[in-house]
Amino acid sequence: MEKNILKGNLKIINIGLKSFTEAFEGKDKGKGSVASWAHVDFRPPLISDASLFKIIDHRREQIEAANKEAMRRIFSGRPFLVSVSRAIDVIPGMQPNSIFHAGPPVDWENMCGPMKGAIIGALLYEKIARNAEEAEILAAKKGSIKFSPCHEHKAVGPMAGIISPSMPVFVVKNEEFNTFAYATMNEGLGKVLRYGAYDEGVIAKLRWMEDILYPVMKRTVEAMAGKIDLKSIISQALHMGDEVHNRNRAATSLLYRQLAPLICKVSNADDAFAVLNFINGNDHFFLNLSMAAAKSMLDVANGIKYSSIVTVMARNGTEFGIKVAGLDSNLWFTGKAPIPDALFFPGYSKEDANPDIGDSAITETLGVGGFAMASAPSIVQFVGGNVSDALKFTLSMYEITSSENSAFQIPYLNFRGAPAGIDIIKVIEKNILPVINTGVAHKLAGIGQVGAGVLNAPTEPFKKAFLKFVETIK
Amino acid sequence: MAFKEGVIQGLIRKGEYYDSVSLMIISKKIREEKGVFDSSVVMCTEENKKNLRDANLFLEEFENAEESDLLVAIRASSASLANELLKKLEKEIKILNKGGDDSDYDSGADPSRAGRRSENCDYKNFEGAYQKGLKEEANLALISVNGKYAGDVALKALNKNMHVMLFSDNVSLETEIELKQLAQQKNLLVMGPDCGTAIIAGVPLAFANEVSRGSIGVLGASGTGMQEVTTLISNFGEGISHAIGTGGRDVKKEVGGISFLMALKMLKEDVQTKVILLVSKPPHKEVMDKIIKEIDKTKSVVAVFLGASDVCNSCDNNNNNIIFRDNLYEGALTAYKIARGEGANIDDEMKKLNEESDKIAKLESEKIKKGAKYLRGLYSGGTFASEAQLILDFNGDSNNDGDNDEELYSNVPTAKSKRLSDVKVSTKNTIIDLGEDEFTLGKPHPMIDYTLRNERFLKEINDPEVAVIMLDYVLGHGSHKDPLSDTISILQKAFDILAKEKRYISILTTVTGTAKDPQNSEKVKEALRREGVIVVDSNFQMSLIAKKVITYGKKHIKG
Repeated sequence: MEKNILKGNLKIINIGLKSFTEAFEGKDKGKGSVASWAHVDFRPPLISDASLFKIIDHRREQIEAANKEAMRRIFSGRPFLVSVSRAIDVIPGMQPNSIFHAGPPVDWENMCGPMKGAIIGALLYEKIARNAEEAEILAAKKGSIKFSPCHEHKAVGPMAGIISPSMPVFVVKNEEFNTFAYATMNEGLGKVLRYGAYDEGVIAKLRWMEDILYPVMKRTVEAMAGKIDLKSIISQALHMGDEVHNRNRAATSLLYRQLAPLICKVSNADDAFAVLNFINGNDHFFLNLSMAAAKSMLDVANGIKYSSIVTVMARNGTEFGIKVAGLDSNLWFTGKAPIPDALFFPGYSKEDANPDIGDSAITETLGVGGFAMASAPSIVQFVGGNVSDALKFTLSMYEITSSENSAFQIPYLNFRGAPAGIDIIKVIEKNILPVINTGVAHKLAGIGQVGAGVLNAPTEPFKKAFLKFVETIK
Repeated sequence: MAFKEGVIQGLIRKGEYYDSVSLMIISKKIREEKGVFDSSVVMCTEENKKNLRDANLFLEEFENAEESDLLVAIRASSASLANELLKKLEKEIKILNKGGDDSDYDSGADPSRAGRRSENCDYKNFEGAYQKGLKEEANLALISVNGKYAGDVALKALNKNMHVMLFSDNVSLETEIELKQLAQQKNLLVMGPDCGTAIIAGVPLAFANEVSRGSIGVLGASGTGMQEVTTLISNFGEGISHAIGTGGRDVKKEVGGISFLMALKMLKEDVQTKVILLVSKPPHKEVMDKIIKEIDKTKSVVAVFLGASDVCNSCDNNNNNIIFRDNLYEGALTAYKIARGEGANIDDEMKKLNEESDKIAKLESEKIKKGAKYLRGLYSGGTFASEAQLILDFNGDSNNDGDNDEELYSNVPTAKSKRLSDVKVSTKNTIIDLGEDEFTLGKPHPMIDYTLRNERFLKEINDPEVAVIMLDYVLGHGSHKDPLSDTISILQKAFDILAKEKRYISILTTVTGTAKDPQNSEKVKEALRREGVIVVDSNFQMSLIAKKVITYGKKHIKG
């Protein structure tokens, strides 16, 4: 390093105003005046109290060790689809009057339109209420329906994420740790319960899923004797243009290939035709499985003292909540859910959009979804239209993650592992928020999906979690 | 009153941070829209909140916003227009949000290089830039982040054994001293805080010009002053070895000239530097003594300590190694002549310049009508505003004919001028530094954006008591990219008004820059001349002519 800058050979780091680098252009040639430079796109930390960072620094070694352990557990997870069962039979803590929902806890009064709609639909489906009015009265009556977040019952649900007792659910087992995670089966697009629709067609489809899809899937999956390796499907799908959140076409196809022969074997021709047709017609059939797989892999990192890794990001349409491995796993850190700035279907705009909703951000928590955007060039219109935009999203997430998942590789980055393990300390220090791919629900119950896009997690939950974390490690 | 007019609409974008220049460019675009009275896009600091209140752009919902939030406010003729523009603005912000262009990351045609990053590109943090970008060989940090964070970033750089240029202002004196003491231990240079200009080994840093390289080393605690002398020297035909800035506070007692003295030593030891030119407001006596002590016969030193002729005469300069000059032009000329081996005497050149200025002033003064008797200086360069007051040397106490026509007012008054009671209203002879906080808070600096000055300019044009207006055009890196686009139409408008009212105002301009600057000073000068304004090469000459026009104007009217 040339220390006497007057001798030339300047190597400049420019921090702040990018325009200052314009003067350096062309200065790297010519006699004597050599300047190379790197620009830092400076963002102030989300919390600038230096004393808090001193506490972090003091515990740096323990934190690093804890995070290493958290990532070891997450990466060693082996999620398999092992069964399909009725929710009440398998999900811990589910009771006949339970309804589980996406995101952090929320009571009926504070629920958003689509979540209320989905709950009405679930009460109709369960025949607990005869009509929508009755359902609403019942739901509003304190204590009559037990609302609880899916995440507090080892379950996850996309959008409203409603799970009611009779619903069939995928049972995913993390073979490495003998733990389980649960998710409903995906209903497809259009008017569906998870977007808050509850008309007769929606309920009829749920019944078909219970009557036809469920038994066929149960027999099929059990006949495969636990050989449906979800991690393997996700790894392959990432090489095939999926990020397994907003694009599941490849993963669904891979699953379909595995299921089809046995579906034909275990069911009559009509049912087999109907079930295969249903899966074939729903590109997002795998979504609920990628979510359950992610849930099963992340859950095992909870309870590692000093770990600053995020194990849950989830939204209920009102609030956005996170959980952190090193903090009490009962604690949610929440903030207002942002309204997605998305691409809207014709006829809809941001005015119609509900604040962000769903447990599907569990995919980003694992390091796929928006974090693996660079794997999914066919959906780059969500992030600005260019492949380089998608690349930037993924690259920027390496800044706030603890590690790279060598099982989930990104071809366009020379098969570099996807960024994994969101570290709240890095989020705060660098002021870079996780990116989340998302579908957008209409804010009114019953209308359904109005768009899709990308958004950043809000700052508040991370700030709250950071403050609690510092307090805990003092 | 325009200040109260219209409907205010705004929004908060949570947790979004942008540098102030980007924001100013956006808010300028919106302000140019029809039906918009004012607009502002700022980070939610306490300071900015106050400005929004002062500008009647504050919304109740801003009260609870956090520091990391972005506040957007528009005051427009109707709510619907304001809302429409808010949407447009959000789009602009979104473009910023996507960050830079594709050069951020190497994601180009060659996939094998994808995601690999190299030098001359963008990083998210200092560490990445240091390790990956410059392979741990970085030797200078140019810091222009918000003053609140600038100290921490500078500390990081010093700990990596890098020299530092702190463009940021609003860094506390405490922090400045701390940084400079640490730097001193490590034998590193800290330029700034509030250091606007430097040229190191031919590389312009922040607001600096493309000047020829040569043997004159400039050391200064004054940004515009350094731009003036470096461009003058370059245009004379000599060159600059380095121009090292220290920030204005360095030469005060508290900091004790740590950086000034270190830079002086560096220039003394630098083989390329043959002559040293010091440019600064008067240093504190103790600092001055240290500077004088440091200067020996090894290299010629010319010093311009603006407004300090008394201090200089009294200071201990018995070995006569320093040549003191009163203004930037004389300082630059002297350094140039010494570098050329022509001695330090500049009497002939100054006599010639005086005669030439006299000629111009006489011609101008003849066009001025009765009642017009005052001058107004509308400066973007702070040093110029001080220098002008010193050159004008108006003395309000001694008036020739009973009225106080020679009173000089300013928002940055020097010894003989008075403070303006309202910076927005000129009084008698007035010199304004439009770069002062009272004008720039939440708005772009007048070197970047002429909107503020253009408004004030038209106000002065409409004042029948005005005889002379002085304008500085500071070119170079960092400054307004296309100064003519914001100048020509306003000059034409001014001349239209004057023609209609059968008045004349002598409009004097000085252009600080070189033909190699991005804006090309020759092109700017030529275009200004075409519009009928006087264009000179230095603030010194502009001020000289202004003074003469006022003096001759009175005689001419009386005669």
